[in-house]
Amino acid sequence: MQGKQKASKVYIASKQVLWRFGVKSVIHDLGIMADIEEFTSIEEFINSVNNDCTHIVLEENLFKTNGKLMLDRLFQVAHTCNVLVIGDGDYPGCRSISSSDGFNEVLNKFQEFFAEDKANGERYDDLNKLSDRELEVLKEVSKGYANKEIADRLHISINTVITHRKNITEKLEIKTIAGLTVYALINNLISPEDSQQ
Amino acid sequence: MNTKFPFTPAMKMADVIHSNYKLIPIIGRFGIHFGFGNSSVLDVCSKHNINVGFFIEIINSYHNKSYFPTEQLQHFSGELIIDYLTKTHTFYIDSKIPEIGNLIDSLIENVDGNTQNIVLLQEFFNNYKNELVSHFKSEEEEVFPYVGSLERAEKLKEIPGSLLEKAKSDWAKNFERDHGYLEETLFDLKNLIIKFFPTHQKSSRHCQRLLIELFRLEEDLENHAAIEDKVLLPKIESLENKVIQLNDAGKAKSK
Ligand SMILES: [Fe+2]
Ligand SMILES: [Fe+2]
Repeated sequence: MQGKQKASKVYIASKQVLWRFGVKSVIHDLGIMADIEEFTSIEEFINSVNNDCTHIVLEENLFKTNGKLMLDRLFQVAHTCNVLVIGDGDYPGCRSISSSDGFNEVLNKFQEFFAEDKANGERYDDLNKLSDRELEVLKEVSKGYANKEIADRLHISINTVITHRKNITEKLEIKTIAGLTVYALINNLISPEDSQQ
Repeated sequence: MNTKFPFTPAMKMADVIHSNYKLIPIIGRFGIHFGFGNSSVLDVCSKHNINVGFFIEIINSYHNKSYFPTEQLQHFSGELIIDYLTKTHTFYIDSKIPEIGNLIDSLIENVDGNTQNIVLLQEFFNNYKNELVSHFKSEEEEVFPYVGSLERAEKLKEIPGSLLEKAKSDWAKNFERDHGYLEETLFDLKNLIIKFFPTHQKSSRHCQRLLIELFRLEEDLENHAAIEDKVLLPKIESLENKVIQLNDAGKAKSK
C-alpha cells in the first residue's frame, strides 16, 4: 500500500499530444495523485478553467503572441491555481521549466510544484486536514458508534456518514476503527472514558 | 548478483544468505544452523533431512515478490506445507511478537514525560497480537488437521461420512478471510507511529527499531498469508474434489 494524498485537479494545455503525454508520464511516475484534464487550445482552456483546478501546466507556445494578457485573464478566473509554464519566458506568479533544465531539475521542479497548494496556502499537511464535519464523524466512530447511530446523532444521512468515513480513512490512511480511536485519543478529540463504550 | 534470479539447489548456502539477509529467519525456521562452510543448498538440506525442492521454492517466493511459485508449491504434500506453516506460526509467537512487545516496553521506559500515548500503542498492539494468535490457533486446530484427514482419506481410499460432508460444503473457503483485516491493523499501527506519534530524542531510537521490526513482521506475514491463500486453499480444494470423486467412484462400483 502506498501513501495517498487527496488528488490534485490538474489541467494540462498544449497543442501536441506527445507533449501532454510527457507531462502526464512525469506526474504519474512521481506518484502524484492527479485528476487530469487536457486542452489543446488556449481559448478552450481559459473558458473551462475555474477554482476547482489546483494545478495548471501550460506550454508557452500556446499563448506566445499574447502571453501576459492571457495569464492575467487566467489569474482572474482562477486566482488560487498554481501555474507551471514550460518555456523560456518570464511569467510573474508562475513557476517555469526552461529548455536548459536537465532531467533531475525537471523532476525537482514538478515535485515542488505539486507540493504546493495556493488555495490552502500550505502544503500536503493542510490538504489532508480533516474538515469540521469529518472531525465530528471521527469522534463518533472512535466512541464506538455504528454508521446508523452516527447518522441519527449528527442528523445526517447514512450515506453522508459513509462518505465522511471514506474521506477520513483516505486522509489519515488509517483503516481500522481501533486505529482511528488511537488517533482520536492521541489528538485529544475524545477522552479515554469515551472510547470505553 | 542479479537479485531477481531464483536460487537453485547447486548454489552455496552461504551465497544465498549473502545475497539476501532477509532469508535468515526462514532458514532458521527450517532448523538449519550456521557454519555450513562451502556446502551447497542441496547438501545442507539433505544433512538436515529437508525436502530441497520445497526449501528452494519457499526461499524464492521470499526473494522475489513477482515470482510466486504457486504451481510448484502445490506439488508438495499438504503435510509438508502445513509443517512449514506451523513452524512459521511458532516463529511469530515465540520470537517475533515477544521481540516487538519488548521494544514497546523499552519505549515506555525511555519516553520523556508522558507515557499515555505509548500505552495506547501498546494496547493496540496487544489487541492485534490476540487476534493474530487466535487466527493461528483456528488454523492449527481446524484447517491443518482437515488437510491431514483429506490426505489420509485419499491415500487409504477410506472416506468417513463426516469428512465427505465437510468436503462438499464451502467450509474451508471462509478460513483465510481474516488476512485482510489483520494486514490492515498492522498497517495502521505502522502508520500511526510514522505519521502521528510525537517522539523525542530519547525515544526516537527505540521507535526506529520498533518500526523496522513491524515492517519485517509485515513482510513475513504477507508471504505466509500468500502461501495459505495461493497454495494451501487451492490444495484443499483439489483434495476435496479428489475425495468426492473417490467416493462417487466407490458408490458406482458397489452398485
Ligand atoms: Fe497461518
Ligand atoms: Fe492465515
